[in-house]
Amino acid sequence: MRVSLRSLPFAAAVGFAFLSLQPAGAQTVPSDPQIVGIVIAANDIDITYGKLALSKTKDKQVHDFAQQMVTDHSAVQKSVMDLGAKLHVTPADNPIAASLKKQAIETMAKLKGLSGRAFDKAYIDNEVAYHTAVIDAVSKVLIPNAQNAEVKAALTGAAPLFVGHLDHAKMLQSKLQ
Amino acid sequence: MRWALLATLFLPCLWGAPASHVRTILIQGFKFQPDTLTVEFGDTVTWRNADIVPHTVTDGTNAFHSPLIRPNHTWKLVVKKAGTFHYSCTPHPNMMGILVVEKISAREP
Repeated sequence: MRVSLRSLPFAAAVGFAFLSLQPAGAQTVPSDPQIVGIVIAANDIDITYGKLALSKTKDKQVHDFAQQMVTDHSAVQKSVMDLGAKLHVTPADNPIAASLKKQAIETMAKLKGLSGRAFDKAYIDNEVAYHTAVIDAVSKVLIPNAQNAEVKAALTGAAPLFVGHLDHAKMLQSKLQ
Repeated sequence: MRWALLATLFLPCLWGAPASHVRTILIQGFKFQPDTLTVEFGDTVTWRNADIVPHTVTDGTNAFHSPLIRPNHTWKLVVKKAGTFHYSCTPHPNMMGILVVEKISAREP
């Protein structure tokens, strides 16, 4: 049975996770420790997706893409963690990161149940949706609310990487149609 | 006679062999900036990686191919073939650039 992850409102779920910072009625913004925690969670998730793809895909282009996701997001992860250590910012657990991880567990379960072309399409579709949601959240929530100038600069510097990944994923998505 | 011979060796230099130029392409934000650069035969083109991940500069016809250019590192190419070269980054194939190398008649081999 063919399952399409396009039926999952993943982008909406991720977007909602970023907007649901506080219970209804509260008016706060994510703190820098929360922002660092969110970025670390987001990177970890895409690294995990990429490693699953590396173990399942037989398509060279999908394999190369997945490897690049693991390589690039690992580089971003290291730079974020190094910056956190330099600024003595300890990543803070928060509802957004928890929601991202919860959604990722569900997505991983669905991806693991697929194979062959169906897996490749679902993985790439998910990468398009995921990067779209992350770019939106970084530009509209994380960058505007970062208090520390270096955190803000790091997020601004990483944003083109997510856009580049999205462009690459869309290129593959059109080939897998 | 000896001075005349020495003069013939140095006169071409005084009258100016065309100087080659060094041009820089910045790799930043997953883009080659400028994305199209026109240079002259014999010029040196330097790609400087200002991103946080490595990139390559790979011509589609294999006329030139850099190793992985690490963040904050550069790769130089002395252009010795005229033409229009469409290149990209191997790990990030959506990154594309064009290098136009023009012949200069005074410097043609």
